[in-house]
Amino acid sequence: MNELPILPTTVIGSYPRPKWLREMIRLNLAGRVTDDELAEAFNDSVISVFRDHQLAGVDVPSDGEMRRDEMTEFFAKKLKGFKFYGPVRVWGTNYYNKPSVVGKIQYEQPMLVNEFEFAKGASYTPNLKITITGPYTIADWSYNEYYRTKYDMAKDLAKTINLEIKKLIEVGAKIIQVDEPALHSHSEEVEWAIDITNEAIAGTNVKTIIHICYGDYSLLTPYIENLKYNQINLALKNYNYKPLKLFKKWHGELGIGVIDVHQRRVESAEEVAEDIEHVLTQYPAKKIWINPDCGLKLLPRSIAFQKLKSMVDGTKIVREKLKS
Amino acid sequence: MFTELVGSYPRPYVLNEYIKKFRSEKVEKEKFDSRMGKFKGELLNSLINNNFSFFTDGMLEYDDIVDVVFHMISGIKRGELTRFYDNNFYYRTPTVKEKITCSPEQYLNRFKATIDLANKLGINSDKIKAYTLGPLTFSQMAEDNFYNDRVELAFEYSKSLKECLTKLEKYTKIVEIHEPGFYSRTLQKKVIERSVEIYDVLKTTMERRVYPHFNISLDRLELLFRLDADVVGVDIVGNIRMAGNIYNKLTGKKISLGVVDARTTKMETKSKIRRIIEKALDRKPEKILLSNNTFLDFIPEIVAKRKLVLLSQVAMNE
Repeated sequence: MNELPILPTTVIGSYPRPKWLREMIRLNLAGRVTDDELAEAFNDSVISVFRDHQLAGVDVPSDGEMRRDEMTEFFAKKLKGFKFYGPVRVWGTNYYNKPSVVGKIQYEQPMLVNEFEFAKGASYTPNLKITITGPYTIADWSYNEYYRTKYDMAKDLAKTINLEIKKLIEVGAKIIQVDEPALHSHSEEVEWAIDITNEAIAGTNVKTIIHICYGDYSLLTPYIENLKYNQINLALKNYNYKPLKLFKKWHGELGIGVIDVHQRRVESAEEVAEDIEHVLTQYPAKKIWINPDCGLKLLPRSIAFQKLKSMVDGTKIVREKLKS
Repeated sequence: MFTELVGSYPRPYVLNEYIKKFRSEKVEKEKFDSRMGKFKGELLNSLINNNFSFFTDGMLEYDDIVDVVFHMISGIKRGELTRFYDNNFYYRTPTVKEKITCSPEQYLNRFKATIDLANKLGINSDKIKAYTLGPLTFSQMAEDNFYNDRVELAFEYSKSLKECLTKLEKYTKIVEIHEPGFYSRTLQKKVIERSVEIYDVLKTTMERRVYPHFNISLDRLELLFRLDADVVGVDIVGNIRMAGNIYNKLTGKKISLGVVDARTTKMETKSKIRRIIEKALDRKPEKILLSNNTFLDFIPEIVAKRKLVLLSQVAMNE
C-alpha cells in the first residue's frame, strides 16, 4: 500500500454499470453474445470505472463490482448448497435474487481471484480495495431450508469467506472490505454475528474494513469493541450524522458516509466539507476516511460520478483547512 | 374454513419493470392502468380459484405498507430510507412537517379501480379488503417535526385515518390495519399505554382487522386483544417456539391465524398446518380465519403462490 493523504477518500464498492455493458449482458442472456465477448466487456467496464474514479480523484478505488449482479446472489451462485426461486423486492422498485440454502454450504472454487487480478492490472493505484460480502449478511439475506440454526449456516459461510479472503491475499490484495450491512438487523444475534464476521478475517495480516449500513446502529454499540477490523465504514449522510456519537468506543478508523446514494440530488463540495468538519468536531482526522453511504450502483452513472467528484473536492477543502 | 390473503402479494417482476417505466414517464397512464388491471385481475382470479374468502389486491401498486400512507394522508413527506424492522426490506420514513389530514383521493381512486375490476370479473367485491398502516406503528416510524409528542401524533393519525375509512365505506366493508411495530421494543411506552384509546378513535362501521407482525410478546398479545378490532392477526407459524403460550390466549377471540410463513421459502407441510389449527381450535376461539403470517413481499412470487395454494388445500381439507 502506498501512503495515503489525511482523510483518504474511497468508494464502498459498486458503481453503475455502463449502459453498453447492461446491453451486452442482455444479449448474452439472449444467446447473441458469447461468454468470451461478455468477459471482454466486463474487463472494459472495469477500466471505465477506474477511469471515472481516477478523474474524480478517489484515493482508494474499487473495480465497481462490475461482474456482480447483487452482493448475496453473486456468492451464492458460486458456493455449493444454494438454490434460487426468483427475485424479491428489497425497496421501492428494486429487487434481488434472494437465495435459499438447501444443502450444506461448501467452497467450490475461487470467487473473486480473477476479478481482483484483472483489477490490480487495470488500477491507477496500488491502493486498491476488494470487497466481499460477509458471512453473516449472506446468512441473513438467504432463506434457510437446510440448517438447524442460522448460526450453523453462518459458521459454514464464515469458513468459505475466510478461505476466499486468504486466496485474495495470496494474489496481492492489501485492502479487503467485508460487507456486513445486515450485522445489526437482529438485536438478539448481534453478539454472535460479530464473532462470525471476525472469523471471516481470522489469520489475515492486511488492512481490513467492515462496511455496515442502514438500520439501528445502536444495536452494535454494546459489542463494538469486539470487532477485529481496522476500520468500520458507515452510512451516515442518510441519517444526517445522528448516529456518529455511537462509535466513541470504537478503537479503529471510521469511514464516514458523506454521500446519500439513494437521492439523485448531488451534494456540493462545500456541503461535503461542512459535513466532514462536523465529524471532525467529534473524531480526530487521522481516524477518518471519507466514503459514500453505500454502493453507487443504483444511480445513473453521470450522477454517481458527480457525487464522487463532490466527495473528493469537499475532502480537499477540509484538507487545505487542516494544513493551515 | 375461511381463508384470507393478508397484505401484499409479491409484485411480479415484469409488472415492476412496467412501474419503473411509468414512474420515469416512459409509459402513458392509460396504458399503465390497463397493464396494472391485467395483473390485478390475474391475482384476483387466482385467489377466487383457490377459494379464498377474503383478500386484498396484493398491494401491487404500492412499494410497501408505508407507501400506502403517502397516498392517504397529507402533511407528511418521504424521508430517509429505513430498514423495515429486521428484514432486508426498506421504506421511506414518513416525515411529519405539518398537521396531518386525511387526503385519500389517490388511494380511493386506486381502490375503486380494484372494485370495478372485481365487478367486471364477476367477483364478489365484499371479499376485497382495503389496507393501511395502523396508528401505533405510524407514531413509531414517523420522524415527527410538528407535534413533538408521539401520543398526540398517534391520536391525530387515528383521527385522520378514521375520516379516510369513512370515505372508504362505500367501496368495502373490511379494512386491514397493519401494525408491524406492535411488538417492537422501540414502540414508545406512553403510546402503548394509550393504545386502547387510540384505537377507540378508529371506530367506524367497517370491519377492522388488525395485524401485528413478527416476534410476539405475550404481554402485548394480551393488549392486542383489548384493542377495538373485529379480528386480530396471530402469527403462530413465525412464533412456533412459543405456540403453547399463544394457544392459551385464544379462547373466545376472533383471530386470523398466520399458518404459512412469508419469511421463508421452506414449505410448511399440510400435517404441520393441520396440527396448528387443531391446537388453536381446542382453545375454542370465537372466530378463526387462516392466513399468511406477514407480507408475502418477503418471498419470491413462485413460493408465495405455492404457499397460498397449500393454505387453500388445508382449508378445503384436501
